Amino acid sequence: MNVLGISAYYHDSAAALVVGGEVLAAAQEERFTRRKHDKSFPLHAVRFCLEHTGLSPTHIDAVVFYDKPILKFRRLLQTHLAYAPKGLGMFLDAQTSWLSDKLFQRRELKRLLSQELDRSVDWGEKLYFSEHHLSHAGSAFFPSPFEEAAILTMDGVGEWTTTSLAIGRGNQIEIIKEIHFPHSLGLLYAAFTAFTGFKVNSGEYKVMGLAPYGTPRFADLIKSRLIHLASDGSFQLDMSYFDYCAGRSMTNKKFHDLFGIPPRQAESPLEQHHMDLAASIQAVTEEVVLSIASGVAESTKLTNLCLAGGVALNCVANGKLLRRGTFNRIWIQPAAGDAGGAVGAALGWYHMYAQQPRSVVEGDAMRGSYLGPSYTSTDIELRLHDLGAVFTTHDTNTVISRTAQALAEGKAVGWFQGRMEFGPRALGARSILADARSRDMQKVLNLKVKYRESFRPFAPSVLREDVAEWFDLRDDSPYMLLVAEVKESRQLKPERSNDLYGIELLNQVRSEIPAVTHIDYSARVQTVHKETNPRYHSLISEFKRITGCPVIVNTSFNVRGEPIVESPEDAFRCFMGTEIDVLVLENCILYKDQQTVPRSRYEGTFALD
Amino acid sequence: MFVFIFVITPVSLILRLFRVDPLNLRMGVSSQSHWSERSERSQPSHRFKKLS
Repeated sequence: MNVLGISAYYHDSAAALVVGGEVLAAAQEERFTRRKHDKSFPLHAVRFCLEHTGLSPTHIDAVVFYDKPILKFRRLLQTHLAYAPKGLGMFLDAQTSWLSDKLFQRRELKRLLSQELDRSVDWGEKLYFSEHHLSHAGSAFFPSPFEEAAILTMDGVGEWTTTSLAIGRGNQIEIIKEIHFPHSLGLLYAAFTAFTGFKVNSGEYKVMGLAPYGTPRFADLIKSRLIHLASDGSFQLDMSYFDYCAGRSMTNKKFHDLFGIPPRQAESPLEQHHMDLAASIQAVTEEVVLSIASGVAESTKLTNLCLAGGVALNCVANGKLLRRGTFNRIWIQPAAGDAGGAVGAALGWYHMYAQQPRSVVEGDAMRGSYLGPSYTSTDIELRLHDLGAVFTTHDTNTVISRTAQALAEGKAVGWFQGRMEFGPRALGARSILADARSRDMQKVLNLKVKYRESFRPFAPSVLREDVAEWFDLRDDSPYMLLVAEVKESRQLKPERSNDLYGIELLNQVRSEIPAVTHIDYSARVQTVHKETNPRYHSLISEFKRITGCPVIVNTSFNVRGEPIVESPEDAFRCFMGTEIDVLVLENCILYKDQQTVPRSRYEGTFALD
Repeated sequence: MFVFIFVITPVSLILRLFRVDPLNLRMGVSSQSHWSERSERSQPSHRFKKLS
């Protein structure tokens, strides 16, 4: 059976194709359209999935949409009923999308599938709808390495649900209980994201990165006024402080007065109180996640936990949950946000509707999340010729050794290899790599390569077999979803830090791998596995042979506001527009100082995220 | 706008008059737990066809 999962119309549209229960292809629409968080119908992603698997539209047995539009419509309507006459502006703004995206969504999906894929297929017969949090739960459990597990999904909001607890057994998922809108941990975090001047649905990661610069001095205030946390971890928000139900902003004057601080304007200077706010909401989020997980462990008596939903991308909270030992094992869907709903919807239909058996795969069934398009060296050579690029082609061993050498010399390397990652993190297929031992690399990469805020940390890729030697982590973390401390023996204590605050702390060398050591000694670790990415594993092994260090910097291959590169052309443009020194596309190597095409100005090309 | 002013707003005011709280906005009503138990624990087959 061939099942196409689709996530669309909110943010991060995506398509996934499940064939015989295996996820064979998945991609986010933004990578093709080059519009970050693109929410339009994922036509390019669907076409890629079909091309990759060699299936024609007539071979598709089911198309499964990741949420229930009418339930969502009811929630919007009931929210207005609770708040009217407040909310007229929001009502008028939303009218059009209510009609096209919600009330008539079946018709709209049928029209698009028919018009863009194949008019001869009766798409209405093949169209199905999964609940939003069931899609998240499906993405968390079905690909996991567990026969039985508790499943916790947490995000902003789906239809009504913002948090759900389910139990997965074999090929079935049973949702036990839920917390409903507007009480949402994701929206609470989003409110602070907006309040600290970042964009909702993309800036949450920045808040998490900013948190270690501050002290959580507002955490008690948040817990006493904004959120009520019950003993079983469930929570309720005091909505008199928020405006997201009926207004155009996340927070209101009462919220601003509570903290005695006005909302920060985007791109204005970050001050210590913004860092303290970030630290505070991060601390509260961690407390809620740990508390809810304890409640789940107690009520289910299960020892395995699966996580998905946008809150599961909070890798700091995930790391603490793992170290707490509430569950023996934790598996987190790499595309934990809405994009991953496409995978969960398709797998949910396959197992729960079609009653097909499920086989548990060792490690997991996400294939390292390398589920996107790939390009052969021959194809890349033709494309590079067309672009006027100067390059050389080598055998694999030479590519590995030259790239490792460039990294050891302190060069920033664009690394474009194999199938593109599915999910928000670059995992060594569309990555910018650098030497983690360099004390200046964090600054150089932020300001000259990524054109992004100087406070933002970088993540390490480490050989799986060496992770425990360098980090306080023994488990697999292939998807960069767990934060752990750099091992104490690798830490260096800065000489003067007591009189430094906030961003001033940034330039201090804190470990043998300063480029990936955040100011609290934490690192968002990616373990690199020979089984899922042998080429990337070989590269880091060679770097280790030269330098003795099995850790490198891995950041996504893009600049601020740009979706991660998908094609060789995207990669070449990014290479030429930034201070990346070397570009390695499969077996082709390009050095910046040898290029003859004029440098383009790249900074400012994409709207800031 | 017509629907909002002449339908939604009056219904909203009536609901509030009768203290109906569909979004659970009143704080401190249930402090033991804020979970809602699911009556239908998994999505049965027929609901995969439905938009609700």
